[in-house]
Amino acid sequence: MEKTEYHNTDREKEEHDSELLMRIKEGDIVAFTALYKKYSAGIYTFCINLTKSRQDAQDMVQEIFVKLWDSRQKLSPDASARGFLFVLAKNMLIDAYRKRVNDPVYEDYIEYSNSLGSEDESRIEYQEFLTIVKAQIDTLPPAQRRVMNLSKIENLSIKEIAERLNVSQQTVMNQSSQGLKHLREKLRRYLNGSLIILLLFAKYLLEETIDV
Amino acid sequence: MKTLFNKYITNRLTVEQLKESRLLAKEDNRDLEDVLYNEWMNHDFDSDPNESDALRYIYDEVLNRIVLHKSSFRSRIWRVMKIASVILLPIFIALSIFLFMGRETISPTLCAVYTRNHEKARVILPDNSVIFLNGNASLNYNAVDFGKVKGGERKIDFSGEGYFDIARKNGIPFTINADGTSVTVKGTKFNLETTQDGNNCQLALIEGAVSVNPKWDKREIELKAGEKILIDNATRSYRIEPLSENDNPTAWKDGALHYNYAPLPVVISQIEQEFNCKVKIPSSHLNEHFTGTIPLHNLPNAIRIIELALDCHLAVN
Repeated sequence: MEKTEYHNTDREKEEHDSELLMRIKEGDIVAFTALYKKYSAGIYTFCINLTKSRQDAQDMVQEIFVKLWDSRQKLSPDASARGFLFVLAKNMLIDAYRKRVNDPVYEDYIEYSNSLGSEDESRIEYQEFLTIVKAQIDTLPPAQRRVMNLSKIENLSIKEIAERLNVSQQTVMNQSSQGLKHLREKLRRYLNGSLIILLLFAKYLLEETIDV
Repeated sequence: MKTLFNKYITNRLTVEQLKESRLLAKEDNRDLEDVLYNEWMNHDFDSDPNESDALRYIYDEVLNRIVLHKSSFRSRIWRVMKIASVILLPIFIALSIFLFMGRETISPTLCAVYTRNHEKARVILPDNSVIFLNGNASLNYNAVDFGKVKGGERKIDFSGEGYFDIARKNGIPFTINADGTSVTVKGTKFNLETTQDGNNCQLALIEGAVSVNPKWDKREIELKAGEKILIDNATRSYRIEPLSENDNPTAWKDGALHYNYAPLPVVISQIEQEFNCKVKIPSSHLNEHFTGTIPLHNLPNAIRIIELALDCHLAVN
């Protein structure tokens, strides 16, 4: 009994959606607003979980709904709104996921996060972690700051940085190790002086040296 | 992959698992797509009231961009309009200049005055010359050109009977084309009459001087004040006579005939002409003379004035 009822409401919802989609197709901005109200919150939280960043998630939601309006002529009454939105969002989602798993600062964050244990109240969000890392990079001496920005934030290899800055790879490595040392000290003050942080950056430094 | 992804979503990955995810994301697009799709379709899409401010903000941004998109369509039209105006504006300017110039040369404004039988008209030309038109007369002139081109040349076409009071204008001639007879004036008063068949032309000069050029003659005939010229186009001849006191060439204009010791047959013939009737003069009065003014608006009155003055009876037909 309960199951049928649930099913029924679900079907009504679907019908309602297809009507909204058809009205959007005809350029009805009111229907567009209704659909936005219905789905934007879910998409937003999904994007936050995926990108780990509110700013990125907001940009994605905006992009998805602008795309929806621009491609409203392709809407068909058979398609579900959720499915159509996925088609619009798909590439953005994949790109965002790839960018984050390859993000060196995210790796740092994972290590930091693991070191605290799942129940630790003091654990901060990735976004906040990134903001602190960026702020601390900005206080470094110019040469180290440049190298840190390129390696941590823009995710470039030692070789790419050397080409970009038109200096030798050895110079980049030197500046990188000095930068990491300073950054480690600065972050310790912010992140409760966790020993793990020290280890984490030491390890990172070691890896880079091996890479080259 | 699915497990890894779920751990990723909840930030529960280890560094090793992150590296594994990295490798998987690199090589397999379809798997990632499937995982994302399942996650997307099963995600709890119920709205979270805590996020309503952010969502409102995003909504405004979306609307802005949709509206901007529309206006970019408008701006495209605007660009086309700008290009079109750059091309069309000189054409419009050239066209209006052409039309403005053409106003004087191509489309002159002709003024025409016609009078019907027994109708009279008084016309004042742009140069303040006055023309009285008698019945069945017509006057044509170019209102735009008049007194403005070729050193202020004044030119009119005329037929029928009219009294001209031409204004002097720095010696600029005034030319009348009267059914082919050309009359050149410099500032005078005269009466001009052409017959309807165009054969006869009569000009009685009251003041000043005119030169007349019949259409069949190359010569210009000079006329002095107090003279009248009668041109017969049928026989190609003309005759100049002194204007007698009793000729009354402008009586039709004044509405009265003036006589000073005029022979009665002359008076009667003029009345016959004016009223288009026949008047029989008793043979005993054929040598009488008449002095006085006869009004032209009433035939019985005119006859009565003569009868009283000369003590006779006139039979009117």
